[in-house]
Amino acid sequence: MGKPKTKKNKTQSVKAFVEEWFSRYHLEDRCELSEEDKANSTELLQTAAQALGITQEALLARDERAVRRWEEKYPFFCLYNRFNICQMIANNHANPAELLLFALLDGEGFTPAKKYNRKSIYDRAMSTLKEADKYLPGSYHCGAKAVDFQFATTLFFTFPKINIMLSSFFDMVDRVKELFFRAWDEDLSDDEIREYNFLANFLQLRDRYVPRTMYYANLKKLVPIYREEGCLPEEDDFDALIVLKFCREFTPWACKEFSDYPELAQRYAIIYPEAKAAMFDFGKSVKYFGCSFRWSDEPAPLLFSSEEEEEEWLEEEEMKSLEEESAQDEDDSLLSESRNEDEFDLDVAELSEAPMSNHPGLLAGARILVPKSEEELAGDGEAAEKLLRLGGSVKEGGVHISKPRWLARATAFGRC
Amino acid sequence: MEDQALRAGEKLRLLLKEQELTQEEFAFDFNTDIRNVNRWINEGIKKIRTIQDLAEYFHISFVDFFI
Repeated sequence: MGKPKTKKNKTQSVKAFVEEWFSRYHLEDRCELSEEDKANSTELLQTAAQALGITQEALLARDERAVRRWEEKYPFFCLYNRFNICQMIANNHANPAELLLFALLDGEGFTPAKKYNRKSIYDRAMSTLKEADKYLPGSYHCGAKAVDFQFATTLFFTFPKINIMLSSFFDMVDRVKELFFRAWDEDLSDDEIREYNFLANFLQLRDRYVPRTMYYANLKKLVPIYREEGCLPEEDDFDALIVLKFCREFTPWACKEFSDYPELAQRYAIIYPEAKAAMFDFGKSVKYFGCSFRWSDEPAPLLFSSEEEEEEWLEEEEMKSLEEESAQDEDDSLLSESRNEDEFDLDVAELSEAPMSNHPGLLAGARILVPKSEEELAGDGEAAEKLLRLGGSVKEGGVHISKPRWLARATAFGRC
Repeated sequence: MEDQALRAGEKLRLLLKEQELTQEEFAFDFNTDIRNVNRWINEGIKKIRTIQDLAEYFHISFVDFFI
C-alpha cells in the first residue's frame, strides 16, 4: 500500500522541481507543458528534461547541480532575475516578499514611485494643443472640454550590470549558432545536444516557417531539406532560415544604463529588429506624458467590455468592408473587361488608402505627447534622449536594422 | 488644416529624400505600414501625435514640419 503513495510523492516532487527551474530559467511561456504532459509522467520527463537541458535521470534525481549548470555558465539568468525585480519595483508590481528580498540584497536600482500633478499635465496638454492649432488648425477645440483625460508615463530604473547581462545573452546566441552549424556536418555529443536544446528552447529558436522550437532532433531532420534548398551553414543563411522569437517581456532598454552601450543595443536590434521600435517607444514614454482624451464636442468612442468583443466588432466591420469591396470589384469587372496598367495602379492606390487608421467609430479619442519638466524627469532626461537617438533615424545615430533577407526567399515549401 | 497637413507630408517626403530612405525602408525602420507612409506623404499628416512621433524620430521640432 505504501509504494503507490511514494511514487505519487516522487512525481509531485519532480513536478515541483520542474516548475521551480522553469521559473528560474523563464521557460514557462517558452515550453508549454500540456495538461496531458503534466498528467503523464513519461511525457513530462521527456519534455521537461529536453527543455532544461539535462538527462531524464538527472531530472528524476532532481539533480540541482546538473540543472544549475546553465546558470553558472551564463550569468544572464541570475542577473535577469535581479533585473526583473528592479523592473517590478519601478513599475510598482513587486509583491512584499520581492521587496523584502530586494531590500536584503542591496537596494540597488530602487526607484520610488512618482506622483504627478494631473492638473498641471492637463493644462500643459491644452497649451500644447493651442500651440499646435496654429500649425494644424482643428487641433484645439475652442469652447469644448477635453474629457476622459488620461496620461501615462514611465521611469528608468538603475541596473549597472546591464552590459554583463546582455553580453552573456549574446554568448548564448553565439553558442546556439555554433552548435546549429556544427550539427549540419556532424553529430553533436550528448552534452552538446543538451546545451543546444536548452538554448534553442530559451531563445525560442525556430525555423521561419515552422512555429515550434527547433530542438536537435528537428534540426537533424531539416538539415537535408535546407541543403536541398541550396542553403549553406553560414551566418547569412542562419538569418534566412531561423528566427529567434522576440520576447516582448524582456526589455533591457528599461534600465537607465542601456543606452550607455550603443554597440550592445545595435547587436540586440540586429537579432530582433522589433527591438528598435520598442526602444523608441520606451524613450518616448520616459520623456513625455502620453495623454489621451476626447473632445466634449465629438461623439463618444465605442466602448467594449472586453478585447474579444472589440476584436469581434472589428472583424465584423472588416467583413462588411470586404463584402463592399468585392461587390465593387464585380461592378468594375462588368464595366471593363480589360484593364490597362494605369488602371491597375489606381486600384492599388485605392486599396492602400486607410489600412491602419482607426474606424471612424473609434476615432473620437485624441492623443498627444506632453514633455515632462526637469523635475518630473527625475534625472532620466539624458538617458531618454540617448535611447530615443538609438531608436530614431539611422543618420542621426539610430541603430541599424536590416530588412530580413528571408522576405526575399521563397524556397521554404519543403519545410512547411 | 488640409494645406498644413499636406505641408507636413511634403516635409516627410523631403526628410526621406535627404536621408536617402525609400518609403519601404522608412516604414520598416519606423515600424509602420508602408501604406501609412504613402498616405502621409500624399494626403498629408493630420494627427498631432503622428507629427510628434516623426519629429522625435528625425530629431527635429514639431514646428519644422510646417516651415
